[in-house]
Amino acid sequence: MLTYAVKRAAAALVALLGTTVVVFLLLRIIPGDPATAVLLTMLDPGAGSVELSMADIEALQAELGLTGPLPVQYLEWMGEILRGNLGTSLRSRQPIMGELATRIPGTLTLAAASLGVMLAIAIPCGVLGALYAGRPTDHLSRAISLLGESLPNFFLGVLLVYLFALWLRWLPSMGWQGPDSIVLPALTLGTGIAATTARLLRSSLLDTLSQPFMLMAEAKGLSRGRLLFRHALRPALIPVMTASSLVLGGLLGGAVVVETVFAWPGVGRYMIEAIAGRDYPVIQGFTLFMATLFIVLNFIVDILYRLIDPRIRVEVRRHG
Amino acid sequence: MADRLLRNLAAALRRDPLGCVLLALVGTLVLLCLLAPIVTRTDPTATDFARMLMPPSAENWLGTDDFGRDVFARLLFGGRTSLGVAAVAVMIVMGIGVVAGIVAGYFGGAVDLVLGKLIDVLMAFPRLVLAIAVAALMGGGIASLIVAISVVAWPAYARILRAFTLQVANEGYVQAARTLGTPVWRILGGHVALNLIGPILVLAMLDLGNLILAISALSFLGLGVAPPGPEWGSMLNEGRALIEIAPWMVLAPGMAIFLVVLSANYFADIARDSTEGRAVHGPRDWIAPSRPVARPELPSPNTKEPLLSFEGVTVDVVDPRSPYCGRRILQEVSFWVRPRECVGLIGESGSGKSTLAMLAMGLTRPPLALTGGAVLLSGTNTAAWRWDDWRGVRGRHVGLVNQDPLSALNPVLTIGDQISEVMAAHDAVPTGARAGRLRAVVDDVGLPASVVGRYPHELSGGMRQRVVIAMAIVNRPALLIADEPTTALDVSTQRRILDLIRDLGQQYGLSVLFVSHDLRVIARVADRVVILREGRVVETGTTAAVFAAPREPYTRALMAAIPGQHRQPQPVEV
Repeated sequence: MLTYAVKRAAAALVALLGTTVVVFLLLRIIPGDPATAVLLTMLDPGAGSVELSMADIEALQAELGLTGPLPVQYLEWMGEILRGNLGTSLRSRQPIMGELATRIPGTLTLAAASLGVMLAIAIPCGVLGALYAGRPTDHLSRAISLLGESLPNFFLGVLLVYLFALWLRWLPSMGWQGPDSIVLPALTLGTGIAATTARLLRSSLLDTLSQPFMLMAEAKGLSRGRLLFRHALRPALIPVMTASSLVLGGLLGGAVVVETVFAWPGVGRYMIEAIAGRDYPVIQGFTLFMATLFIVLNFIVDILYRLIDPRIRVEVRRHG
Repeated sequence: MADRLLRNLAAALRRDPLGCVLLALVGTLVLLCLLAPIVTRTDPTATDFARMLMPPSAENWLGTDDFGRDVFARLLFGGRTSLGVAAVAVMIVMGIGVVAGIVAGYFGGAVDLVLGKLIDVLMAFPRLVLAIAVAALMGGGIASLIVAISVVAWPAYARILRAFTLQVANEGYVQAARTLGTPVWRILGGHVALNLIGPILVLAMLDLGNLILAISALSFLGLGVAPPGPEWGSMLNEGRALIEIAPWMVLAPGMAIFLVVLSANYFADIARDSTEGRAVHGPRDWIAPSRPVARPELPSPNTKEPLLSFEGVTVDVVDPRSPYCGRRILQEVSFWVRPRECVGLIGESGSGKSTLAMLAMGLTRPPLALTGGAVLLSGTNTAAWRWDDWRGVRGRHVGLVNQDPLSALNPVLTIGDQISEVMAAHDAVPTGARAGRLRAVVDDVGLPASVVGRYPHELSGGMRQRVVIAMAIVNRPALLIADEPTTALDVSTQRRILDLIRDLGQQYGLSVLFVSHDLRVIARVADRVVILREGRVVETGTTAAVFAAPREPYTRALMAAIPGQHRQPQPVEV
């Protein structure tokens, strides 16, 4: 198990390195000179008639680390990142690391609460759909999944704000005003990703329930609970966990949208605010942070997955 | 595959009014958007500050926005942008994905390696986050929106199409074309691409809804069309601050996106649906237990009374959705199994012998149903038994050993768990005695004590079948149903398992219903035989009598077909 974890961790590190290369190259691949674009936006958003001095452009290019050969640029940039320096925001002139750090708890809270909502919806929906396959309960749970999957989360968020915050006045609509502020954002984000999980769980559980070993388990005279929880659900979770990166990706991507809708104090909103000002270092820092979070979450799922499936546990013991 | 998909869709639509409604709605919407300049004369960007935030009326069907612009016109012209971007993005994504997938899959080697690494790295990002970053770095606008969506969406397609290509490239006819020296471009264009059209269409359909959602989310975040031009996502963003005063500004674009995505997902769901009609093992009602009607207690097998009897049993396919609806599986089958007797049930595949075995356990499932006659256990008619009645009998009084030991055990539970839970489920063995009984039964079936802590995949097929037998006999049942228990095993293992079942039967006074298509196997274990053909009993009698002097022509033909035997009576060597 330990060898396995070390191997997965190494793979995660390689993926992390790959993401830094992509983030580094993105700024350099896009058409046009980033420094010029930034200066144009800062001086005169909209128009483009302003005369820029060459000195200003070169100074900003140097600040963004856009001068010198590419490999050297990359190594210098990486060196700073490893020292915990993501650069300085062009707008606020504050270190990005510090600004991100104050917003990370907000995003993590939202993500955790949404995962909770997701599980609370997806597990009953998926399980009931499979147990009552082809019958009214199944149709209902699939209809719920379909609706949840098709409602854009920004639309759902706006509707929920209208209904519960503005009309019924039960819950706060914007930002952080106490613990009940999390309810609407988490509901919005959770229902969107619940559909995928519910669908995966339904089809995987249906698959498990039609396996010969389930017939055998029934022929042993086991109780309902034992059949479902001990025999069917555990093997059914394995394919669901394999596909979890899809759900986690939806969670992190959706977080940016939902934070914007609810003015939630997280990294996503920080990033969206940076876009208008072409604050490239912030966009890069945010992308790196989200990729890191995504890779770490996937790593955790990978480890959990191996704990559930004994077939892989043993393989690792033998070959690892 | 493509025409099968279309046929499935057409068939599904015919019995799906909801699907027809959705299709009609979304079709109308798309058509209105395409014909927007003809449908409405209003300029979607013309401001009129005298008519700000007007509710829907005869003049402005969907009201006006905060600049006095007609929401209906903006919705239609915005739809052209939204749907147009989606269509272009799908084509670009499919194009890159298909080319990269086919090239990587067909040529392999360094190309495959480099593309594979690129795909891995791009998929290490959350899709929408990378799209936002790309669009943000490029500064927004339609072009950057399309680029951003394409960059993040192609890797998944390429990966799937690479796998398909690998599969197709290894097909015999592609190999043959290669050997014949057909040019690579003709192999790729003709053989490979034609075979991939189906999967490509399905993939595009499955993901269309997600792509549209991603595109509208980016526009909502301000990364799409620049302000005056209409687009659904950005219209929603403009309207959300005014939702209390002018909800139509949010509802119109929101419902439009929802409708398009909903229909894309709805039809994707139908295309994906291949799961219908599978047997689900378990009670019909999982939540509320059915009230037991009887407390079946089978007496100890001392009486002469048959333990199991089939009286004129008739089984039909009753589910109207099944293509075989109305087909008769068993026709008035009658025979019985007495205490301490082993009855061999012989028949070719499709003769209904496994259906009989399932009937004896109450495990008959739709589309099959008992339509005539009765199954009796110890003289009790089981017709009225519910799932919970059967549950008390299964594993306690009647044990099952079935055909394929490789799939009969749960892969994630230990052997010890799977045997012990049969004792725990029935309270037939006092709690304190269970550990001892577990050791004894493992020893009885000839397995080392160490298997208890192991998982099924660590055991051979023969060992797994011994585990299944241990599960079946651990509660000392009166009756064992053995449904082709040796078919999936190799010849020497077959013989050892047969001997084990016979010896255990004698040791514990078990009655056995032994189902097989193999006469040599039956000859080795059965006291009496029942020969089944096309759902009817052809001949019954003691094994010795039937094998020595078969009366029916079918039985004689069966006997003559035993390899290396010329109508010799038992004992027949395996």
